[in-house]
Amino acid sequence: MATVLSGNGAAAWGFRLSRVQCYPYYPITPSTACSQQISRWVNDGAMNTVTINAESEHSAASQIIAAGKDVRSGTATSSKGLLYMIEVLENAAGGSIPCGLFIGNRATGAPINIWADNSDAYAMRDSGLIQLFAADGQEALDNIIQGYRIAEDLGVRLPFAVNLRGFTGTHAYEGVEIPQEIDVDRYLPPFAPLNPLFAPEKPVTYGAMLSATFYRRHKRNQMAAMSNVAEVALKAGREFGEIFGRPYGLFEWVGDEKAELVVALMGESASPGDAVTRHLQGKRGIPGVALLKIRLFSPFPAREIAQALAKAGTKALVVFEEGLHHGAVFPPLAQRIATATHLHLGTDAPKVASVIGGLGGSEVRQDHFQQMFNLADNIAEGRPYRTEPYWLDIAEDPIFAESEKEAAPQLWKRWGEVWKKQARKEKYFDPLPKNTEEIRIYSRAGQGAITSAVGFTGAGIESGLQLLTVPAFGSERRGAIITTDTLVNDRGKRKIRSFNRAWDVVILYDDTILSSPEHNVLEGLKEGGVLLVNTSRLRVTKIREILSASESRLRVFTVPASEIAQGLGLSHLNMAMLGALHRVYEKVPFEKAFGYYEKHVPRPRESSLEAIQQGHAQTTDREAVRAKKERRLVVSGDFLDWRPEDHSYDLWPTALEEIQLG
Amino acid sequence: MYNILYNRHIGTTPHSFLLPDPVLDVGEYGAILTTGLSSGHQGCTGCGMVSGTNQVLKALKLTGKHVVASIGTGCNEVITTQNTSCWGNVSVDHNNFPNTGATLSGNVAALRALARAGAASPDAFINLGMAGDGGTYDIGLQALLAWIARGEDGIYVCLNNQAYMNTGVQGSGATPYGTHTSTTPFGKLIRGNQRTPQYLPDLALAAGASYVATACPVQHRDLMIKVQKAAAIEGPCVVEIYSVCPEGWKSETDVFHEITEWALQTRSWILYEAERDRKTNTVLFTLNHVPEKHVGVADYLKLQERFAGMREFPEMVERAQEVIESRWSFWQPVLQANGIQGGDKAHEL
Ligand SMILES: Cc1ncc(C[n+]2csc(CCOP(=O)(O)OP(=O)(O)O)c2C)c(N)n1
Ligand code: SF4
Ligand SMILES: [Mg+2]
Repeated sequence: MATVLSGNGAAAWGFRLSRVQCYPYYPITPSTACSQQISRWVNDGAMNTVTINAESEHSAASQIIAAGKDVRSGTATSSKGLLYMIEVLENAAGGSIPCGLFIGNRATGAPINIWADNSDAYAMRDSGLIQLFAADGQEALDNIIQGYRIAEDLGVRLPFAVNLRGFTGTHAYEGVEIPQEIDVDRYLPPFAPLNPLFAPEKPVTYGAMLSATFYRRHKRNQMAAMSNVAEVALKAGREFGEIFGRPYGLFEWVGDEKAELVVALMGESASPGDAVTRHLQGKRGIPGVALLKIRLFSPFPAREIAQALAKAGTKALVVFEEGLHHGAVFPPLAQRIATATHLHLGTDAPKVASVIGGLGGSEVRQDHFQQMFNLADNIAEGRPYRTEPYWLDIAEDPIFAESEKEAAPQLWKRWGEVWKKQARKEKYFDPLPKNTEEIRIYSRAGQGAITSAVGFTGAGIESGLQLLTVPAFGSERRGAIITTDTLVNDRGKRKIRSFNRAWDVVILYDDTILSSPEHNVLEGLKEGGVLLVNTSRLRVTKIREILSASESRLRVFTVPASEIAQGLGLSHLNMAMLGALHRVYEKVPFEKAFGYYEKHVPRPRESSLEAIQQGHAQTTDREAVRAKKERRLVVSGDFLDWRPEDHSYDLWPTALEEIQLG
Repeated sequence: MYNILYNRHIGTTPHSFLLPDPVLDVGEYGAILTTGLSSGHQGCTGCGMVSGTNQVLKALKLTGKHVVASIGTGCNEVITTQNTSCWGNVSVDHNNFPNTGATLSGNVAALRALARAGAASPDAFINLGMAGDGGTYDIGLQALLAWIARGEDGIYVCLNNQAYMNTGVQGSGATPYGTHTSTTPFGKLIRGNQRTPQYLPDLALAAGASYVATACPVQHRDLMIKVQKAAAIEGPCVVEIYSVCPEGWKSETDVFHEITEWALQTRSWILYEAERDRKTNTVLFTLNHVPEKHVGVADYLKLQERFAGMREFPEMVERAQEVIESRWSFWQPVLQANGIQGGDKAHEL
């Protein structure tokens, strides 16, 4: 049975199940929640780990390296925090210390930006760590356990890092299978130190100074250990599959076996790519397509990837990545792939183009992959293409441009000839079939929307559906408008992590959002979709009027959630909104869900459950008229009350705690 | 080490022992006419830090000098610089989180270099450093102490909200004992933050600061006088400002004043200042405020849910009281000299 966890929560489970003995940490968005979860377990006595509230990442890294000689150690960080660790991380690699890092990938600035890209992972690529990329929380959890297994192998003994894209990975709540402790114990034996410090019988010295003769030998050995990784990782991934039913390779191939056109990438951004690839796969009138999802970035499995491309008969390879390599021809992943294919396949190597996107939290969408496959198609046909990266979503520098008007003049001067010969082909751009139903909440930070969406996700998963909730927020303080998106997939087993952004239901936690100049709540709302508004003062017709929306455009429901919450003495209206959601959206059956809420709802439980009931009962699409003037709730942070009892907070994370970032 | 000398007089005056003339007593009126932060900041409702920063800038405005602010990452920076700047005509240099002291040093050096080249007069500028408690007590301590040790002219303001707020309330080196934060949760086994905080003025004095002071935005006259003194006194000056944070303290947004008053009443926050006379290696300590009544720390724990767990445990409350009493005991000579027994005015009667 899957449990609803955020990517950070899943990573925390990875450390917990690996029985990490020493875990120093320093907060930084977007990976902090992993350390918060571990602190919570430790303070409750659920996890037996020595934690250190470090005073900087430099210290946290120093501490895992110090402790990592005698015990299993790990930590989590991101962005500048990782950069601050880099000065010491070489000592882990050079000292053969198999400690583990979880990285919630984030931009490194300047300008300061707390959102996702791979700049931090790329900055550490010369620090000597094994680097794995996870596509979701489940993979983060699994990779941390496998990471220790690989890192501690006697033929390897190197530190490792598991990367997960910030927010869409670290803050996405979805069903995660938490492995059984006894199985993990079977898979990952207790830490066996090689040259411990606390060993009076055999004192050792770390960090000795070596002259050139010894230094170069040492470095050569370190590289040799790195080159053992692929084989060890393959075995570890296979055995992981045998025990847990989820086998791992060095990369994953999605799509046609024979694929002329391939898009390669790493990590969570594969989610929309996955949907597009499956849609284009086997489609008439276009060549074979595949998505190459690379899991092991360092050491780069050059030979294996080259072989896979040769076997598939790939002609054009577009490499998508969320990071830069200043001053180089290609960014790091494209460069590694280009070198690999060139070395191993010579003149048979596919042509390689580089695309940069997803920087600083830029969305990675389905249409980007449609563009990239179209680009690959053009390249495979022998049309000219750029020898330097393409960029996504830069208006004056599009991938396809037919006339001078569509691009900046200098760029047209430089690339006009290439642009003119490129063809945008409509067959790549059909809208994708909508296999999911999607709900968007607009709320104000502090209203508890994320918590309610996470609860809804848990209830949906328990009723056998597949759900994913991704809150989109940043450095907003209380009161700012944020969105929380939930995707419901009832089409069987295949995981879908990609939003079509066509909302079946849009929810407003606050009727003032209707008139927010920055938010068009109708945007993306399907024809005939549902708009659910928390209000005691606005009638359904008034809401239509404000939006100038016809009867057929949308169905409007209202619920006096603030009033309900107030009546019950609750400081949050989210439980009433949760009940209301069940009224307008019945895919997750209310009766069943309520059973879930009875077990997991935040305190005060009685009132929360009552609020859910009342929210459900008082939701209406009629002209609800209320005499009472609405009083806005003061959002108070009843922090401790939000901590569900026992260990159920594992199941319903206190999303509230994650709301602030920096 | 340094010799300790107490000022017999309790209270805040514009006079400094290091300055020939008093600074402007601007607290009540003058400052209101000046502008601090411009509108549009994104701080939470009831944020104490916004008020603190505002008052610092207002006080500095009255010196007539141009402020160059080196600010560290944290709430203060994030809420005032997002896609815009709320700093009016202050020049702002945000250069990461661990290095506010070093950035300050760099800007002091630039000013000196400009002065050497005859391109600027040092007297026309104020170098201001600003960071949160995390950026000061923890990750930024090395850079801060090194800046102080260099003896450079400038003001460093620490906005102390007693945790890492910008990243969602994690425990810092300034988090009080027993506090529930997201990394020091009040658990079944370990109850909240187990450490007792260090004190910035102690650290700064040990490193050689010319002037240190604690302040709070509710006592705005006191705060602004102190900032003015820091601006006038030569060498490194450090001002630490108590910053109510409804988000991290889990308090209502409209009890900013009450919480601060309780902090002062219970001596959880002590207002004082200290000036260093380098010739005699003496530091003169002035206590600025003595509570009216003797109030136990339990009252301070009331309005803030971050203490909800610890207030249920008498032994924890007692421990918190001990921390306060041991800190307060430093002021015994002053209290005695003023005929205040037992540490508060009530005992006088
Ligand atoms: C090297 C580095 N580590 C971590 C961070 C993340 N970070 C940004 S602000 C902040 C907390 C700031 O806390 P504090 O200094 O107390 O200021 P506050 O936000 O509480 O005002 C952290 C941990 C960072 N920006 N850089
Ligand atoms: S989190 Fe605290 S310090 Fe930060 S803006 Fe909000 S109230 Fe102010
Ligand atoms: Mg702080």
